[in-house]
Amino acid sequence: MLPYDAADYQARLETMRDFDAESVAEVFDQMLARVLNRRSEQAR
Amino acid sequence: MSAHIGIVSILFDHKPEGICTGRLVRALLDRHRLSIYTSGKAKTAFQHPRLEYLVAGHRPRKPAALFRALAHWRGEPSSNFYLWGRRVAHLCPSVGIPDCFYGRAWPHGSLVAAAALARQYQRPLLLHFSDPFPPPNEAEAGQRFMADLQRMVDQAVALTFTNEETVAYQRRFLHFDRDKAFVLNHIGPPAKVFGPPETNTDFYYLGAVGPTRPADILLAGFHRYRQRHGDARLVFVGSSAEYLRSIAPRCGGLDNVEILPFTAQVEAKMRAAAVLLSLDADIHPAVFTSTKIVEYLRVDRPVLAITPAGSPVDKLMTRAPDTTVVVNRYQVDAGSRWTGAGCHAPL
Repeated sequence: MLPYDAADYQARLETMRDFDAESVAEVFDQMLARVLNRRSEQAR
Repeated sequence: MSAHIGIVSILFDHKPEGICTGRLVRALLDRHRLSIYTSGKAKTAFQHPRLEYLVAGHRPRKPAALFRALAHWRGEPSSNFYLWGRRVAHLCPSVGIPDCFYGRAWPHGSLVAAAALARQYQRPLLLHFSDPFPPPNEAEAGQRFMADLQRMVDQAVALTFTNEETVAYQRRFLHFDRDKAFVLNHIGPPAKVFGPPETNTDFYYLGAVGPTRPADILLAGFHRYRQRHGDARLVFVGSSAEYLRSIAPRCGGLDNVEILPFTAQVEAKMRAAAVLLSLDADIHPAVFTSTKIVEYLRVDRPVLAITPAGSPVDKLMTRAPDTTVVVNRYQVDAGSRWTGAGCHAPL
């Protein structure tokens, strides 16, 4: 069985930052700004 | 930028997709005002000054054929929550019409309602596909269903998917420009550190198994492992006992296998596990990044994934090779399954 090493799991959590709510919300914001800007440019 | 977003989610804060939507909403409230168009099936306990719920009843949903016919007669996309979609279209937030509408499937009815609202108020439409259509391993979606979906995709200014593989898969069935699609990850729960497990014998599989999510590799592989580790136990949580009993005779039986009912308290199960199991070996093509694998990777337990080489799960596991094991060299006959080198080495 795999030995338990807290440091290994801490490192794993760090690699999963792009699944944090804040990271995903930031990606969403970038997308929203892009599509809404594109739409307002088209409207002009 | 700050916007007023209409989030359309029938199962808000409930079931995996609704829970993921709930996590996204909590993060978006830092910058945006949100109106949640949802149903009586949702959980609406969470409150925030910039959040408003618009709740419509969802019953009755049957006879489904009648509602499909009604939608067809009205020239609308069919919906698995037809009446809810019609009711929710009449609701208006107290602060006015949202700047855009974002429909979050599953269920598919969330997309239909979001598209109707966006049309009605001439606002941009965004759609989220938690799963692609038709889902891998499931029967082909009907021609009309896919045509309805195409109309909504054409209307949308943006589509979100949980990984690049799902975007590519969906483009085999629906036409859209690649630059209309965005990858928006699942949102994991807050990380948990439980400390070492109490036992080192218990393998846990959390979630559904069945004909479209076969578990025979998992079961047969476990029994092969048990030949060398007799005290090992395999615990299924929320899996169909009837299905597992039906495959057991050809997969080594159910000795040392426990089948527990569904629970919303998955954290306690993850804490109890010595190893968490992920399985998408028999899903063709294996394009999913499941919410479950994201949850697994945010607790301090080793994860064993039985998945094809190059799948999204395989790629995710390579981020943490010290605490994960990937088995992707399984054989087709049950007796020699679960024999990937990666499995033997650390376990």
